[in-house]
Amino acid sequence: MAIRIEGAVKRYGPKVAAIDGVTLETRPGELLALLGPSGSGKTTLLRAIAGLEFLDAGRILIDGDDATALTARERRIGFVFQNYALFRHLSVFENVAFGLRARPRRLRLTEAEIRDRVLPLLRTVQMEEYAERKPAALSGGQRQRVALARALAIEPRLLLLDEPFGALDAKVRRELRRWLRELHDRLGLSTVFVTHDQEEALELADRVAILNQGRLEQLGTPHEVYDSPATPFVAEFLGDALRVPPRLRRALVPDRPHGGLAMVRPHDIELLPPGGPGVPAIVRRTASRGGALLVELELEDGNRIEAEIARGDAHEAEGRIAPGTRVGLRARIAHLFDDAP
Amino acid sequence: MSGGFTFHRPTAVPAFGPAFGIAMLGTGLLVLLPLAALLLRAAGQSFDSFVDAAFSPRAMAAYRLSFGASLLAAGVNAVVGTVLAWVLVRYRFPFRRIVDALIDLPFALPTAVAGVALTTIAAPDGILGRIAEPFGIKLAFTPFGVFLALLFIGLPFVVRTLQPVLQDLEPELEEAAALLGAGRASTFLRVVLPAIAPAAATGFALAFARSVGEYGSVIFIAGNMPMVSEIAPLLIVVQLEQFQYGAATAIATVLLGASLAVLLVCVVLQRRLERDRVA
Repeated sequence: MAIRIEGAVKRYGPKVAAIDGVTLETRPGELLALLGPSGSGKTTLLRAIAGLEFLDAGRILIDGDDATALTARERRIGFVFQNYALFRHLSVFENVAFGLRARPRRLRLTEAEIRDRVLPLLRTVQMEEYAERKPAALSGGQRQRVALARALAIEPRLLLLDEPFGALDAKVRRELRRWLRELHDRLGLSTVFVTHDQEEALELADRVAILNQGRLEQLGTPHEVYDSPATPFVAEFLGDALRVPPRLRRALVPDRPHGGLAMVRPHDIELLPPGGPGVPAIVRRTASRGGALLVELELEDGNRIEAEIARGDAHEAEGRIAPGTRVGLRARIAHLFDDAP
Repeated sequence: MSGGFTFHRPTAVPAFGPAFGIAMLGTGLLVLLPLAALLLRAAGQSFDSFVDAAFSPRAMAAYRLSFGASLLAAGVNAVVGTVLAWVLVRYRFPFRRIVDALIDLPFALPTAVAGVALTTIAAPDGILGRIAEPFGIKLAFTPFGVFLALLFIGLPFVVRTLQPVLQDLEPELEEAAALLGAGRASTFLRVVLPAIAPAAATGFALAFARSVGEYGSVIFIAGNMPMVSEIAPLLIVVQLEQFQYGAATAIATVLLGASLAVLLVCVVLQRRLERDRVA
């Protein structure tokens, strides 16, 4: 099951375009992340795929068939809302059975058939023992699993998740992330999810589509987008990146001394002994950032930049990063872009 | 006071004393005092004369008409008003704001004006009257006219009670239903209606309470034939005009009791709906 979006445009008012000419294609069975800051159009794009928003221009093809004019009801797409949108007056069982009961009369199932469909789904999402509870009596993570089972009950061609982990606390989030990835691998259902958390997208998805101001910046595997960002925006959005000022360019990035814009990630900055090659700087402060050590460095012109070194290296470099020591800086890897926007 | 009854538990919200005092004084002076005076006045006569006045055939006919037409009108309004509120909240169409403003007209209009206006269209030569005539239905000066007037004045109560509730109802619920394959009607019946039922019950109760007491807009269109199209509030006025104060208060007492009973049923029903909705 593959979906293709061609030149999608959605405007709110004459000047505001939520999506502004997006073309992308999913691969059958893949888990695709739509990643971007708020206002980048990622949720609008997801809603357009579902048929909840209608495009001003462009087409949506599902398995090669034009689905642009189909209503949400006709598309048979599973959708999990950010706030889950569970039906409060219905039990967990009835929430999941909703889509089965909503079928047209000639396709309607018997009560026994409905049970045979709903109970295995509740087992899949580990909610079997809560079948008779109302949503109000469930935790956030449980509600989300019910919403997922409800979406899966209609045997969707495609599963869409809007900020699936947005409303959960950090621990539940991580657990659910792993669980969702396993579930996806087991079901093999093409899935698109929206997130603003780059870590989540890189960890979970097969491919990541990065959106900015309604445009697609890059589409690729987590390694591709992180290691070879297509645009300065992607480089900066997927973790920190320093825009190398022209006057430091030759010393910091000696192998590509000029042309375009060079960007360097903090963990790609190498600390060398003073007096040798590299940009001279003084260590001002160090701070622990989990497995890495953050080193705040003052350049000769008084500007400060940050480097990040792994904890193991930190021990070796101990003498070299004490506050007040002089060092030379050089970029191990730099990302180069043609035009500085 | 260890473990005993505390009248007012300490809170961070200030001014409990004055606020509570004003609230109780208001309730007492404006609500309880007049009702107590009514009951006292009604009790000032012999039991037999009370029963004679309160349950005379003419009074019984008036109760039947008042409560029957009010229940019916409030019921129809609960349905029509719910749909109207839904349309106003969920859809965007030309003149929506004007339609929305028109809903309040029965609130704002002096009841006598409403009565005259309704009588004009319902009279045999009026717009509605002419349409109904070939079917052998007489609108004006019949119980049907009473129903029509109550329909008119009750509508805003339902619409205005439901609008905020519908506004707060997440649109995602309806979208989720559509994505799961439910049509518009099915979405409304199975998703929207259960969520707004408590508010609809409140709207029904308000419309009903107003209808039972409605006087001005009804008396023109009703024709006020004793035993046929005479409403209970009018009968009270008739008794007062004849200086039958005892009879008037007796009828008023029955009206009060019955209204309270109906409101009580509505409150219980609403509580139950509310409970089913969440727990």
